[in-house]
Amino acid sequence: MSAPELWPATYGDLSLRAAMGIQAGVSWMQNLPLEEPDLAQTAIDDFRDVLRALKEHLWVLLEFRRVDGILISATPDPRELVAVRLGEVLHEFVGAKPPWAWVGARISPSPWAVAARCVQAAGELMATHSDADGLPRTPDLDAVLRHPDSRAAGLAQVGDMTATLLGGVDHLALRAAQAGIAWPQVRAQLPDLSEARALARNVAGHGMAPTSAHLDDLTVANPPIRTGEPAAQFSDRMMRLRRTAWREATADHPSVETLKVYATLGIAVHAHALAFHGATPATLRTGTPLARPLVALAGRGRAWQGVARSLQNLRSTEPCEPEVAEDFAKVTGLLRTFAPLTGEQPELSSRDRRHLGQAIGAATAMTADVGRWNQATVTRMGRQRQLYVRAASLAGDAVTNEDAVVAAKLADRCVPADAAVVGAVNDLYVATAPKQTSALIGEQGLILRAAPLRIDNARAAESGRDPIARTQS
Amino acid sequence: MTTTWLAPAAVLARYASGWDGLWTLLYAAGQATANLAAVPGADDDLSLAYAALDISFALSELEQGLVSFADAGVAVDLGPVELADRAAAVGVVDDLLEAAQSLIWHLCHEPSVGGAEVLSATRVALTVGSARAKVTGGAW
Repeated sequence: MSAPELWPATYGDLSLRAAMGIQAGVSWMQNLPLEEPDLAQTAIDDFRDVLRALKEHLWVLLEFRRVDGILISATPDPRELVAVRLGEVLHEFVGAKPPWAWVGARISPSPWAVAARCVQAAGELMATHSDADGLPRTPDLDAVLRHPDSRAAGLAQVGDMTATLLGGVDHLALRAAQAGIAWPQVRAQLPDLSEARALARNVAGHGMAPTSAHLDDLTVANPPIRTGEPAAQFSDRMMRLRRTAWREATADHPSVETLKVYATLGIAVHAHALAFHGATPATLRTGTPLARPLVALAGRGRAWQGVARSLQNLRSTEPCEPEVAEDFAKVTGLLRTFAPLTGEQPELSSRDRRHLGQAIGAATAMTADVGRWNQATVTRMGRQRQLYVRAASLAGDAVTNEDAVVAAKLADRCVPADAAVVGAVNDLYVATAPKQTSALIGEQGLILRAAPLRIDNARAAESGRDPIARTQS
Repeated sequence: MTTTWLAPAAVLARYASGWDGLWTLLYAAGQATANLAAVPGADDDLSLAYAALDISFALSELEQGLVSFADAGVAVDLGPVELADRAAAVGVVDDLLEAAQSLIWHLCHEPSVGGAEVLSATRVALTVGSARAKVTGGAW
């Protein structure tokens, strides 16, 4: 019997386990007899470990390089400002972990120790998305981790956990003293933390804490491919294809062969998504009216066909990225079993159908991202003259302006693709992604970065008007 | 189609020689497959789109060391095709790919060919075989 397949932990999983650990630790501390001073000391050490992990996680969420900016900003995010103060207060209490702390360290099995490890793991999960210079290793760093909503949700969770944990500090001190640890020693290790608790409550905020589904679903930067379950394998490989498309957009030497694979993938994903919803190619030719979402899906599929056609004559010196070719072969093979383009569709239970529908829907959304990044790749390759075309395939009016191109056409050689060719491919890519409202596109292309409304006080004072006064009609 | 594809394809298959000839055969087969795939109704199961990609991979492999990237072979496009001629067009593409496989076999047995070239040519042959299986419907 094979071992059960491991699913990579998500940020949400780790946060939940940390919260459960804190709760179980409080229960453990309240109900278990701490007669032994050693046991009480272990509880105090684990308590401090959780606080240290939460403090370090605060800095990961805030990002060290942003802290000075938060402190001097005229309009800082209130939650972030309080979080900085909380981090400083916790640092005064628990300090930093020395680099040699792991030497001879024991692994405590207590729920608090488990919580501390989960919080540390969540920070390490986030760290996999950036390199040593803080530059992104995946598209999710900017789109998810640095998104204001995700940051607010992460900080609120840490604030909530910290406030809950600190709520039990007096009880822990009492139990430690009862177990035989001298009061001065207890107070030295567990001083008055009411300020930290108040700050933590403020970081958590009032009412329902903000949440971020994108943050909760985030996993490590390069998770392994799950090969046991077809839908999971399909999703994992699509995610890896998406990451590679993003990486290729900034690569020094991308390959047009890789772009051809992505274009064929775009065709396949949309064709199979339509087939999954009952619109096979044969059905489409009958002219049966389609639902509005399917019309959009068919339009984007046709756009990918146009892209594939326009890339056919382009060449580059680099071969296709092997990982992309491998993932493409697997993904298209799986799509043929999920929703065949010809013949009978497989009979699925409603649960499987919903599961597959989500996976295929997510795949079509991913191809929109892929299209934007592929477009950026083509633009860069065109500018850097990395795209070539056989001059023999160029039309007559495309070669008359340059002697070198005329000579290349006569000798049937490759020439760099000119701006018109690259521009035509670029235009075709535009239709592969759903139209976005321009207000939702930030500087990074993915994120809403709404700047705070700034009132020009000097100009308002000159005009003698209150800057926020309403006009009397 | 009978007059525009069959005769030039037969000439290519008959007279192609050397690595440059192999490039020409594959380029022509790739263009023909892409042209056929673009015809509405000719590629419902996307097998032609996948085959065109395989042929592109084979060309790319050739250009990595067996031919000159800048001026390998002669670029031949057999031109457009109609849906009614699909079966005949598939036959032409298959003939071109078969000729390419045969040429690879001959080239690999020439005394001047080194080990790295043989391995590269074998990868091309495998990819061409995969493309043939897709074009003729034998892949799935």
